[in-house]
Amino acid sequence: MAGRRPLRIILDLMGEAASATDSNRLASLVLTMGMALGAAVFVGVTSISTTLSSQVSDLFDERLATTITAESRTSEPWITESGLESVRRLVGVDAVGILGNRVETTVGVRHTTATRFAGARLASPEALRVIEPHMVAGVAYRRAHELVGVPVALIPSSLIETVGLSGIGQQIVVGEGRYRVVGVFDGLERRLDAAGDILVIGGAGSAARTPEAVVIKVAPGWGTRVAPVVAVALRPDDPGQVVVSSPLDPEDFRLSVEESVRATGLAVSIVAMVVSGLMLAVVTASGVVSRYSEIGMRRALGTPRTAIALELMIHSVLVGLRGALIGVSVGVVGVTLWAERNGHRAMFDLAGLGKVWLVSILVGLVAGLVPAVVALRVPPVTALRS
Amino acid sequence: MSRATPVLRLRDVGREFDGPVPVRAVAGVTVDIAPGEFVSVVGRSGSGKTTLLSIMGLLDSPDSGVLEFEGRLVSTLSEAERSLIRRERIGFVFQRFHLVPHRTVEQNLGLALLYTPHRVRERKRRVDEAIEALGLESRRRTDVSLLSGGEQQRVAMGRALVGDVGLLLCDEPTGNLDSATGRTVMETLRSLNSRGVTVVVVTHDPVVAEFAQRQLTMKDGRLV
Ligand SMILES: Nc1ncnc2c1ncn2[C@@H]1O[C@H](COP(=O)(O)OP(=O)(O)O)[C@@H](O)[C@H]1O
Ligand SMILES: [Mg+2]
Repeated sequence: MAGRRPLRIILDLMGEAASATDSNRLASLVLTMGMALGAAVFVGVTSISTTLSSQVSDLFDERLATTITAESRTSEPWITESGLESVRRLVGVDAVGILGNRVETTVGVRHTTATRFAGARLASPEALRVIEPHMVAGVAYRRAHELVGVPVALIPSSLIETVGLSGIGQQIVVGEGRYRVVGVFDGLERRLDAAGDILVIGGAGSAARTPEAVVIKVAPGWGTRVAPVVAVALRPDDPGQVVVSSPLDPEDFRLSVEESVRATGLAVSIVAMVVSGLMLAVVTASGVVSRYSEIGMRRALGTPRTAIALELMIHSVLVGLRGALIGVSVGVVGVTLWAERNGHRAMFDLAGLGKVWLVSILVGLVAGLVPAVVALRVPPVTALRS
Repeated sequence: MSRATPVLRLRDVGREFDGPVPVRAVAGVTVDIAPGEFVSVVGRSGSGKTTLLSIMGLLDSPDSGVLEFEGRLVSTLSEAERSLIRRERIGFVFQRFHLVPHRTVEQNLGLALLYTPHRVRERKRRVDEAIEALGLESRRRTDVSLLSGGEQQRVAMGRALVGDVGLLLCDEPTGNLDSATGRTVMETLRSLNSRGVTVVVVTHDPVVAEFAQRQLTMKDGRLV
């Protein structure tokens, strides 16, 4: 075929390779499915990990990066109103409050109730603006409560039965103090470690005198700038006494999460691709034996052996690509549905999608190599001797 | 006096197969096949007919003697050049048809035109012409595996027709057909021959051999 029209030759090669797909239905089917499986797993895993790591990063940005907590090294009273005021005035600070440590204490609707225990924390009214409870009933806090001086409590929904609560407005006993329940919450925006505890506001109950933390809500992106100056603002006289837990650098955190999630994903998908590649090679190799006499006939009719070998290679690549197309479609649809169900925004690893095509071409080439080499060795006389 | 160059010129051609006992499948064959001839080669099974045909079709190489195709010394040609001659000058019809299963009549005919310089339009014209000549119009888009033996053999002959080959080599073309169908196949070969195609038919069936103008008989690898 040397010296003939190259375009004609390429079209013949492609056309013949494409129609060969249909001459070997079972082999192509198995091959396609193997490749599709590999590609679907590849897309699924890389996209799910991308989606998840972006989710984790979002969580991180929204919650952790906007929370600063300051504690004292000693058990002495250490928080002053002027100190809180200084922090409140720092640029980037949205709210500053006091949150007590968790104490395990008795709870119930009356003193007489059979004793039950739950965690409770003292919270200053402003601390609620920092931790932002997700209210499912009632209200988080009203200025009126503070003015009237009524001690109030917020109950996590998980403790409703433990406490024996029958409605908003009911009085309950927490430790030694009585509180009016003004709301029920089922989660916190910040300080998730406190999400299972009763929050009491006001009053001088036993919960009030535990070691306390200053909780600070900062505007997104301000955490790393505010944290270093919190100690001095709170205790200009003795900043060394204050321990500030500053948020991680969001970028570092995101990278570390993405790295670990993606490493797992990559391992899984590489295994899937290799397995389907092996399947592909085995099936194409067995396919060429069944086409032995067909190849002999083509040789007798004068098709150059290089053309037949190339046809088989291109055929194998096309089948691989077809499988990858199916797999990618299944993967994309699957990940989209999965993300929708779980309330995530589906994100696709575009570089990964590119690699699927590359890998499927490579696997197709490798799988096509065996039949191509076999075809090169089929003598034309086979046609008369089968 | 210069006669037309023979299509095939064999001089003392031999072919031996290795094995525990080496087999001289073809020995000392000397024959000319002239353009436009219709030749049959008869002989019992194992007499070397297929081996001779594969040598004539440039599918196998003799290990002794001289073979010329249309005046060219075949032993000096490369495998690529022999492929090219097979593609453009020689057609084959096999006992077992050797069509590509799961493809249509059209597609099987098109196979013979792959890697030729003909354009799509010209290829289509030739395929149409062959389909008409062979009376396969209603089968044009039928999967060849669904055709009767006679129809399959007609498609195989059609492959030679679309390629516009000068030489058609047939190995037991009626071997898998009943005698009535075999007869129509032979008649088709005769009509191809009347269009100028040189035909060589190998057969063990004397009735089939009768269709040829010239009969050669083989015995133990030799022409007798
Ligand atoms: N590839 C081969 N290897 C060994 N022996 C062969 C081969 N091909 C043919 N023969 C032998 O050569 C002889 C002639 O075979 P063949 O040409 O097929 O005869 P026919 O077509 O007349 O039946 C037979 O004895 C056969 O066994
Ligand atoms: Mg034979």
